[in-house]
Amino acid sequence: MIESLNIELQGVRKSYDRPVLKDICLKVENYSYVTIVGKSGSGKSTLMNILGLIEGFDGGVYTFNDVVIKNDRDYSKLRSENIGFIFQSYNLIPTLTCRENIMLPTLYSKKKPADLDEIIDSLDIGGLLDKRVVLLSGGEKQRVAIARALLLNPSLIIADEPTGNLDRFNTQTVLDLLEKENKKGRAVIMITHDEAIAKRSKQVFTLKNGVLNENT
Amino acid sequence: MIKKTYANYLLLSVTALLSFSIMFGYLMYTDSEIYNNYKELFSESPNIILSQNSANEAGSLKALTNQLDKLPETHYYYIKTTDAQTSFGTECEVRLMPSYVWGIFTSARLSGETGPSRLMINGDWELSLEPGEAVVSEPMYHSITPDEDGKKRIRLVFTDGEGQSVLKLYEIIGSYSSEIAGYMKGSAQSDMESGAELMDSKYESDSVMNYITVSDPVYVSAASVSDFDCEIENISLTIYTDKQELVIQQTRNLNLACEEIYTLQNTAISEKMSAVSNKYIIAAVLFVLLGINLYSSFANALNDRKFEIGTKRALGAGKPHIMLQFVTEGLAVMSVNIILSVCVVCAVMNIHKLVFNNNYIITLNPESALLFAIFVFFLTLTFSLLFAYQCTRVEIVKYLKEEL
Repeated sequence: MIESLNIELQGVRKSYDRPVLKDICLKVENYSYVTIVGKSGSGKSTLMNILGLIEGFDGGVYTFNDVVIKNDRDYSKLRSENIGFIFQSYNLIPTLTCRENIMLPTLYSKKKPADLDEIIDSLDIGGLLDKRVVLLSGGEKQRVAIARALLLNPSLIIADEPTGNLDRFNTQTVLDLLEKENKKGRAVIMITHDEAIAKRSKQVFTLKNGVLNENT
Repeated sequence: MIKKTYANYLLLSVTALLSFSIMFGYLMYTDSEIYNNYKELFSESPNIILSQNSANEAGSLKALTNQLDKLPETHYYYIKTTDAQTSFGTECEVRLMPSYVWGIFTSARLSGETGPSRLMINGDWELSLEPGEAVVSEPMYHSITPDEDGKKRIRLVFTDGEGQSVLKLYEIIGSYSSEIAGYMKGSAQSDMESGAELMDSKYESDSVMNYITVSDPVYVSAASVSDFDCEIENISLTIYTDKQELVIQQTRNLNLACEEIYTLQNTAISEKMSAVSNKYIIAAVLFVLLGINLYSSFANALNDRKFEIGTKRALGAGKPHIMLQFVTEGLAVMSVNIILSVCVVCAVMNIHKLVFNNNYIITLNPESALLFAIFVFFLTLTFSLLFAYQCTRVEIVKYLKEEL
C-alpha cells in the first residue's frame, strides 16, 4: 500500500554565487510523473536535492505532506520513509554485496519493508544478490539501486539522470520500471537532459536561467 | 574503490599499531632496562661488612660493636677465617661460622662493583651449622668422592697456636655456587704444578672424574674448633641495621674500612628517579606526536569514506546512525591494534631476550601500564568520537557524486 503524497514548492529560491533557482513552484502528488530537463549547470540537481530534503533553500515555502520544511532541521526520517533515490552513478556501497546494499535503508528506518522477493523478481536480480557490486554491469547496478529505492515502499521516487550511464537496452528497462512503479501510485520526479526520455513522463518541466516552466 | 577502502583501513591500522607499539615498547623497554640495571644492587640486603686484617684494628672493631649494641634494630656476627690443609694436600681457607647467620656476605663482588654480595647455599640465604658440618663450593663438592655410606666428607688439618696439627672430619651438608671458583682436572698436586686446565661452570659426573678445587673457602661451625687454640688470620664483621648512615659514619670515625651497599643503593635510587622522570617526559612527547599521527590517519579515513557517508545520509541515515557506525568502527580498529601492539612488543622483547641475554628480565611497572592504558583509552575514545562526529558533518550533497 503506497502512502499518500502531497509536496509543494512555492516561490523557492536558491543562490550560490549567482541565483540558481528563482521562484520555483511545483506540485507533486501520487501518480505524478514529472521530468525536469535543462542544460548542465541549469540547477536541475539543486532542485532535486531540495525536493529530496538533502539541501536547504534560501527562500520560499516547501511543504512535504503538510510538513513545512525548514533549513536547520534534519529530515532523515521523512527522507527514509517517503523518498527512494536513484542516482546516475548508482551510489551503491562497493564494499557491500548487492543484498546488503538493497537492505541498507532498513538499518535507518523502522518502517516495514516491502516484499523483497517481489522486488527481486520484478527487477530480475535474483542471481546478483550475493555478488559484490563492483562485479556488476551498469544496468545491473542500476536495477540493484532501484531495488534499494523501492524497499521501504516510498511514495516518491527521485531519479537523477538514472539512465545517464546506461546503454539503450538498459535505459528502456529502467524507464519501463519507473513507469510501472508510477502506475502503482508512486510519484516519480526524474531529471534528465535527454528530451526523448522526458517525453515518456506525464509532465515535463524545463529549467532555464533558474526559472522552471512546464512544457506544453 | 574496494582496494582503496582496504588500503585506508590498513593505513589507519598500521599507524595505530605503530603508535601503540612505540608507546608500549618504549615503556616496557625503559622499565626493563631500569630493572635489569639495578636488580642486582637492589636485591641485596643493606649489609655492612668490616674486615679486621691487623691486630691494631681489633680495638676499633671492639669499640664499634660496643656502639652497635646500643643501637636498636641492629644485629651483627663475626666470621673468623683460618687456614687448613685438605686431605688432598692443598691449602684451604676455612671460615668459622657462628651457630646461625641470616646470610653469608663476601666483600668480593663478582661484577667488579664494590659492596658486599651474598652467597646462596642450596637455594637458601640462611645458614645454621652444627659442629662437624661443613659447606663447600659446588666445584669442591663435585670433586670429593663419597665415602662408603654415600656421604661426602672433608678432612681438614688445622694448625694450633703451638704449631701442632689438628685433624677434623666434617660431613658436607651443602654447597654454594661460586662463579669465580674453578676446579682443576686430574689429581690435585700434579695438575696444580702443571697449571692444568681450569673449568668454571660445568661439572661432570662424580664417578667419572676426580677434581680438586682451588681457592674456594670452606664454611664450618666455629664451635667445631673451640677445643684448641685455632690461629685466626682475619675477622670479618657483618652488620645488619636500619641505621645504615649512622653505622657507616661510626666506622669512618673509627678509621675502619667497610664494604657497604647503602651508598650505592642511594645513588642508584636517584639515578632511577631521574630515568623514570625522563621516561614520563619522553612518554608525553610521544603521546603528542603519535596523537598527531593518528589524527592525520583518521582524517584520511574520513576523506575516503565521504561518498559512503553521503549516500547513507541520502538513504535516510540520521546523524546518530552515522555516529554509531563510525564510533564502533573506530573503537574496533583501535582495540584490535591495542591488542596487536601488546603482542608484538612482548614478542619482540622475548626474542631480544632469547637472542641477546637470557637473564634479562622483561617487566612493566604498574605506573607504566596505567600510563599506557590512559594513553590508549584517551586516544581511542577521543579520535573515535571525533572521527564519528566529523563523519556526521559531511555535507550530503557535496559528496553524493564523489565516485563519479
